[in-house]
Amino acid sequence: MIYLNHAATTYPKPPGVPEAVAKALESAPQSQYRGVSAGEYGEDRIKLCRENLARLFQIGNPERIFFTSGSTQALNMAILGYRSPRKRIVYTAAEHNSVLRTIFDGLKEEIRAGRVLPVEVGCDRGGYVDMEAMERAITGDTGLVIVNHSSNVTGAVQDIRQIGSWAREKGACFLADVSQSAGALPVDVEAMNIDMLAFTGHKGLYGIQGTGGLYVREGIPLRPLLFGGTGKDSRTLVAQEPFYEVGTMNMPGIAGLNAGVEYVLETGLEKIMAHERYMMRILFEGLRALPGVALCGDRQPGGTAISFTVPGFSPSDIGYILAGTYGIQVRTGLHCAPLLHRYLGTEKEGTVRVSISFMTKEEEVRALVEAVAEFTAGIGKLG
Amino acid sequence: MKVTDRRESIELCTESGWQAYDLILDGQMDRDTIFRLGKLGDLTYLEMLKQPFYRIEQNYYMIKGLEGADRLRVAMLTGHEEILVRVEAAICGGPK
Repeated sequence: MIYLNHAATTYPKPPGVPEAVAKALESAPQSQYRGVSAGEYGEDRIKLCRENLARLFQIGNPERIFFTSGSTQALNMAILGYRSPRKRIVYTAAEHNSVLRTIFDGLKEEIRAGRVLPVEVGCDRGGYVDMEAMERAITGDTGLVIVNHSSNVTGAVQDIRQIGSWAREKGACFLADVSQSAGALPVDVEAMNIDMLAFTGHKGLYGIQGTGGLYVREGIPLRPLLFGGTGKDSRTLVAQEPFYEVGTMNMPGIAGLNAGVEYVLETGLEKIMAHERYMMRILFEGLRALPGVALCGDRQPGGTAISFTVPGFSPSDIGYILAGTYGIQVRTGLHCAPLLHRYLGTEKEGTVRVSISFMTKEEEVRALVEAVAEFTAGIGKLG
Repeated sequence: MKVTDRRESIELCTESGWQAYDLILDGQMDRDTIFRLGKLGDLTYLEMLKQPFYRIEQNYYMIKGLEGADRLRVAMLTGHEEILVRVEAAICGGPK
């Protein structure tokens, strides 16, 4: 099987990740702030993981990174917990449902009451945000600006440095979703003026599912969504300072995430990016050259996903044929980003998405291009 | 030919009201069976592909698969699960 669905989750995991998870399960339990084992009888994996993530994202204080079950939980914490007297929440059409549903369902009472005003910024046919519209959308009444750094549908990479700068100028809080770009592209919270950063652990960071986190800049007014045991200051029922990690942490998951982040740091982003760009170039140029294939966007995506359609054919059928005949696993449909398809012209059935990671081999992407070429040549005989 | 197993498919988005099953066969799907199944709706048969693909559509259900494969997919709107019985009957209706 050729796996080209890395935007869903990366596979295989690098050496060291499964071992780290297994070791965490086999070793005496480590529990943050509670009891002994943390640091005393071995390395403190949680602390180490925060420090490694801080290195990767250029975060000054690792203690401002809070572990979650993934980016969905992180985005819920950020969007539902953020407190602002300002009404506008600016988001892009390229956002995932983890943002869109959190706004429209999670905040529906506030929206109905007029306390929150969602403002959508559109995209072009490649999923790139309309930057002029973005600048106009961020006003003095904007509380939160939310941007998906790299589209999970088209691989379009947004200029979050510029958007972060506009948000900062207007006094808005900037929330960046780096689910697809963490470990694949440079992310620098200081240079990009990011106030909150949501990431998942099982994609470009090569950890396992059920891991991720939220960085919250000091001073950002964020009410926790969950309350409970923290292992600290147990007599206090109302905490002086909000804390965003409660309950028992996912220690094996964090150990795996740490191993994944260490792999990224040791390999180096430049090497990872060079490999991924090469894989994407083979895909982009190969698919673009095929008659009958309509790519979403006319330039090579900066991210690790690319989408296409074959007019007249259901993306779902193409995915079925790629899997059944060629043993290639891609993903088809809307990819949980429903608004974007209005701009791509694919709102009815979505796209065929091919996505890669540092684990992807050249022969795998070439096999995909050859399979699509054979498929389109076959249907070309239909006239 | 007969259906030996019915597995809920994780491929289709059940949120939109559709559900899907993969039917596992005790042999390989052949052309005759595809055309027999084709009577259940509008048949598209792409013979020119490396492995011929078929799709049978009706308003409330959709059947698709590959010739030579040991499985096919049946998707239906909630409330139209009876199509599974008709598909199984059509598959079994051929030479034993």
